[in-house]
Amino acid sequence: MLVAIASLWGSGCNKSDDSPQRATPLDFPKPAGWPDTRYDFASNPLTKEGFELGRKLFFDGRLSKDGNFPCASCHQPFAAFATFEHDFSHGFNNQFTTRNAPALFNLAWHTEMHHDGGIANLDLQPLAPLTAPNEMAETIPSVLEKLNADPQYQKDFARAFGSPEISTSTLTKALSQFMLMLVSADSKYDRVKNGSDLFNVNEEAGYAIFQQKCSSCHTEPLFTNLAYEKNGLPVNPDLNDLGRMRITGSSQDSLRFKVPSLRNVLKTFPYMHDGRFWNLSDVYTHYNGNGISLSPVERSFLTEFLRTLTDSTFLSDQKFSGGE
Amino acid sequence: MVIGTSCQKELSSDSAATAYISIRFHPKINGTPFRLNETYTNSFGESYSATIFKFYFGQIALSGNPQHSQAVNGDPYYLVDLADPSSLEINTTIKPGTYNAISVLLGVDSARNVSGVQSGALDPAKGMFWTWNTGYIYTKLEGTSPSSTQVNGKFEYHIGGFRWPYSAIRNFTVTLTDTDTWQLQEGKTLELDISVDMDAFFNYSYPVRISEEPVCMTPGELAYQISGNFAGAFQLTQFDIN
Repeated sequence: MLVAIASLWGSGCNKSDDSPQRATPLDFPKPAGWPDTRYDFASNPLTKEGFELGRKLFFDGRLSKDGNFPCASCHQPFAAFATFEHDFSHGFNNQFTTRNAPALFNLAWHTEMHHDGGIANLDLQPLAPLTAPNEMAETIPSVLEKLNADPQYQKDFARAFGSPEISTSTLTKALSQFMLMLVSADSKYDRVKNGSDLFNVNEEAGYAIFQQKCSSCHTEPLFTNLAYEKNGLPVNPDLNDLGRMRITGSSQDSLRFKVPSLRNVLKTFPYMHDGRFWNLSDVYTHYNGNGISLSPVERSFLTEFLRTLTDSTFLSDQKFSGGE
Repeated sequence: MVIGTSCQKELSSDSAATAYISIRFHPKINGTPFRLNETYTNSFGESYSATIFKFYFGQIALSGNPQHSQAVNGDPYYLVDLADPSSLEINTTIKPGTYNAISVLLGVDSARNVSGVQSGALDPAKGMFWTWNTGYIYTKLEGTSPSSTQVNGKFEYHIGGFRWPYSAIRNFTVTLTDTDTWQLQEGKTLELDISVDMDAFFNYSYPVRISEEPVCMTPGELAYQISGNFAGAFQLTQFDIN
C-alpha cells in the first residue's frame, strides 16, 4: 500500500519523466552535408512509438469517410508516396482530385505544403485531404471519435504521447512523425557524392547538363529550391488553377507552383501540378519550347542522370510500408 | 502539505494578487437581442435569417496610467457561438491595478495561425479553420436570404486571413474618457457588457449586400472589408466593478 502511494506521488509530480512506458526517442537520420531541417522537432520529438503510430494511421482507411481512402491510397510507397501512374488521384464517391498527388519525402526541409504552399506547417497538412469532400471526405471530430473508440489506438496514443485521449494535435503529430522519417538520400547520386560509387560516362554528362540547365530551381541536395516558379505551362481552362495566387491573392503569383524535387523522378510520373505530362520526353519538349534548349543527345544523357536519383532503398523500405 | 506545494510549482507568487474580469457579449439588432433562425432585415432592405454565428476573440488586455498593460493570465482564445449561450460570457483573471482602457483581439494572431495544430478553443476540429489555406476562420455568419443568388438562398460569410495586405485580424479597444479609471482591487471583478450590432456586419465601413456578395469563403479583400465592418459592430455599453 505504501509503495503504491509513493509511486503515485512520483508520477503526479513528474508526469513526463516517470511514465512507466516512456516512449523511445528516435534520431532523425539527417544526411551528412545537407542543410538544416526546418521542421520544429522540439514541438514534436520523434519517438519509435510515435513513428509507428503515424505509420499505422497513414495506412488506415478509417481516416476516410467510407473507409476506402487512407493517406496511402494516394501516397503509395512504391511511387515515392505519389500516386503511381495517375495524373489525378481517386477520392470519396468516385471523385478525382484536381492536382497531381505530390511525392512525400524529405519533408523536414519544407515549411509549406501543397503545390501552392497553402499549408504552413506539416502538422496541419493531413487536415486538408482528410476534410476535402473529393478526397477522404471526413470531419476531424468524426475521425477522432472513430479512433477514440478503438482501445488499441488508445493504447498506441498513450505509449506515444502519454495520454490515451486522441486529439487533433496528437493525431497530426503522429502522422508528421511518420512523414518526417521518409528521408530519401540513398540513391546512386548520393553514393557518388559520398564517394562510394561512380557515375558512368553518360550519367556524368547528364549531371553536367543538369547543373547547367536545371539546378537553379531543382537545387541539390533536395533537388528543389522550395520556391514557387512559373515554368511556362498554360492554364488548363477546365481547372483554372492559378497556383500560388490562390493563396496570396497576388497577380505576381499567378501560375506559380512549388518546385518539386527530382529525387525518384522516374517513379513519380506523370509530371507537373496537374499531371499533364506523362513522361520525361513530354517534359523535355515543354522546356525546350520555354527557354531551356535540350537537344536529343542532351535529353538522353539527362535521363541517365535522373535515373541515378531513384532511391531503391527508400522505395522498398519495409519500415515505411503498411504491412497489414 | 509539503508534498502538495512541491507539486504545484507553476502557481508562483504571481498568482497571489488576483482580480477578475467578466465579459458578456450581447449580439443585437435594432436594440433587441439577435437570435438564430429569426428573420431580420439589413440596412439594404434584404431580409435574412442566420443559422450559424461564431467568432474568435482573445488577447484581452487592460492598460492604464502610467503606461503599463496587463494581459489576462494564460493569453487564451475564446470561441463565441450564438448557439451556445454560455459561450457569450467569459470569466478570467488579471492582475489588480488601475486601468483606463481595454483591448481585445478579434480573430487569432498570425503566429497561432501557422504554428502547428493548436488545442482548446483553437482546435481545428471546431470547424473554424481553413485546411487548404492554413488559417483560422475568425468569424462565421451563415444563413438564408431571399436576396441570395445561391442554391436555397444560402449566404456564407467566413471571415479570416492573416497575410498582408488582407489581414482580417482586428482589435476592439475602448479607452475611458478623461480621468475615469477602473480601480481594480484584489478579489474584485471588472464586469463589461459589450454589444455586437449585427447591422454593422453588413454595413459599417463597407456595404455588403447579400444580393451581390452572398459568399465569402477565402481570405482576401472581401474578408478584409467585412472584418472592418465586424470590428465596428462592437461597443462597450456598460461596466461595473463588483
